[in-house]
Amino acid sequence: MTSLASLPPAAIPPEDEALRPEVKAFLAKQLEDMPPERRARSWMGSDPAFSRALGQRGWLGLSLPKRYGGAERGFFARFVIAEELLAAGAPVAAHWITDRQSGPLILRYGTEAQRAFYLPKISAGEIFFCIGMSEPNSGSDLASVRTRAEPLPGGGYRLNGRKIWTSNAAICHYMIALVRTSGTPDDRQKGLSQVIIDLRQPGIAIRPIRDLSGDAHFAEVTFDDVLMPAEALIGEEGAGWEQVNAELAFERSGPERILSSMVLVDTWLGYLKSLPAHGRDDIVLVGRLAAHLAALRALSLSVTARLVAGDSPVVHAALVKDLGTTYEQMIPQAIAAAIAADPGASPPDALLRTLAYTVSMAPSFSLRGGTREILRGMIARGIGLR
Amino acid sequence: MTDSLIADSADRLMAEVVTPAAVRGLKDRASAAPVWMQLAESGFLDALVAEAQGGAGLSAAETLPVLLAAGRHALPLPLAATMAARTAIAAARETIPEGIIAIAAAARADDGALVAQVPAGEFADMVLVPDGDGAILLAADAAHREATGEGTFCRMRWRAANGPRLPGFDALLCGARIETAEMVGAMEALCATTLRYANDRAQFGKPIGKFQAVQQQLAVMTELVHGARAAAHLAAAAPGSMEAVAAAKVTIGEGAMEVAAIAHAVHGAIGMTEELDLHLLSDRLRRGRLRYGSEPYWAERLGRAVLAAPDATLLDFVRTRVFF
Repeated sequence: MTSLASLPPAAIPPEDEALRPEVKAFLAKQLEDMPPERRARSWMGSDPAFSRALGQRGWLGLSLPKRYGGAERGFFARFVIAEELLAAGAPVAAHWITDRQSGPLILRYGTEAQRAFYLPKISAGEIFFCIGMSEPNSGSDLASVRTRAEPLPGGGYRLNGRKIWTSNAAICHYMIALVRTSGTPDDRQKGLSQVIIDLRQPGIAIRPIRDLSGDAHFAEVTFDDVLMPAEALIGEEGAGWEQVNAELAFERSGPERILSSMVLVDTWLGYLKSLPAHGRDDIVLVGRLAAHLAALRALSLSVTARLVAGDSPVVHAALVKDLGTTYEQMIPQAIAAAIAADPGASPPDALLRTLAYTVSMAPSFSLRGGTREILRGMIARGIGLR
Repeated sequence: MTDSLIADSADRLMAEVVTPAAVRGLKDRASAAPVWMQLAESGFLDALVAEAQGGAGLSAAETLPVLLAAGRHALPLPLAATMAARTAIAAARETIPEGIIAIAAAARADDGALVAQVPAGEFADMVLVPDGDGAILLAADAAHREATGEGTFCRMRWRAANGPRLPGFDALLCGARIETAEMVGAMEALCATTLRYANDRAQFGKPIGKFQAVQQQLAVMTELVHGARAAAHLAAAAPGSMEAVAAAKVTIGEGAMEVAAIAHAVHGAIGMTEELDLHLLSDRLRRGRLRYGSEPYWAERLGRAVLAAPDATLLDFVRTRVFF
């Protein structure tokens, strides 16, 4: 039996915290006219021009070294900026995954040539990456992927297959995909590699998929005899599974696993503050929302400190994500109940639209980036049960 | 002393002194005496007292491991309350009394007498009772003492409330913070003991921990313990912050219910026996939730503060009022 190590509390260093006022001022101006139901899209809403503007301010690639155009500020600086972007509901989707995991991945596993080519453009907000993991028949069972990059004599690969639920593929320049470079699907985790695919080359078709809220952020991407140079490989051939898992520690522990419903919370709070009096149930709910936000933030900061220390806290990250998304999903249901507790109440339309969007998307909070059941399985393994 | 030194020596002490048999035997002051003597000899009593006043001058955050260890062993005695009370008494330049000091959650005047609700009051030699914007230190012997019979608190009644006054001591806030820290310790122990049981107990030819339905519950339990510990750290880092303590009492109280439920679900019938120590821990959580205000009380206080604050976002409020 093992138990999962407890993480010491962590605080944001003052020099990183100092970034906050400037980010706040920038966002107040940029988002002035954006209604809450659009801001509620959070890291699902995209605006490449907005992402480039962040890059110009030096707010992308915060954890990347200066020689690659980064800010060399580390994960806490990114935490501060991510919190403010998400709390405000800024349209960050274009660069979000690139900044969160593609940049750190290329830094960690890339060759010098790959780093020198991609990282400065990532920091400038000039190129965006999407993540090619799921396939039509490979969801939670990620090791069953069938998309194949067949090594060619003389170097390079020929790519065939299909990726699905790829967020923002249509506006991205590159995909980092988990593909099979040797063996068969029966070999499971063995023989998988990560490749960087230039999405502008022939043989690639991107078909947007409309979601239930009417947006089309995710897509199906088909590869038909796409020829890739040997340099498309990132990291080691055959080490794709380990690399993907390390990447997921970045993906799962950040503020985006806590704050997805925050625009709705603040829109509701704005409405409550406009009322002359409050019922006790509403006040108690406000307190609960604040209390859980505090505890989750503390936990997320502790995991961030492990990332700073160079660890790959995969199980702790899974734990933050499951707790955080449970909170994110509780919010729209609780606020819906609160708003209509008085059948005659007439809340503002913008609040109702923000609620409608958040309720409709909430199920995805515990699907994207690894389902709740898969995460709990990982935690069970982490505590020695499997 | 470093954190891990404190944690190690607290763990060793509790394991040796606060055995399940000792916990079962703790009913009143007389039964508490031998256990208390060993706890008092440990040197923890004045860990928080300022160095200038003869203590170790540690912070609430530095002594959190002692509270967690007490919780892991379901210690019924108010060790942490005594530590906090001695610190406040020393800071007020009053003489620190001998013995066990409990901290009352609330007090009211009743027909010329002072009536207080005192968690762990059955063990107390002295009680710190809320009084205006501070507290007053009263001898337990001078009170009529009536236990509820289920271990949560005593009702104590003083005909005349004479004792040293400690201005600014917030008994409810202090008590709530201590309670949440010990609850987290109890949750940790429940999680560890349940995990062990799931690995040992076999059904259908394999340990029940091999079944996904059980694994998922233990994963949730692990998550809740980690979340609760993070909240206890927040409160320990800002013991004077109503917002930080409220966040802890709300989240830890909610988590405690679920952790106790999962622990019992996984243990099955054996967990319902007197013989197994499990109930010492789950009962500790029951008492903890009932003491010093439950989740709705603290959520309401926190919610009122949010609604009265000028902050633009809930994150701003939490960032500036809970994190220090």
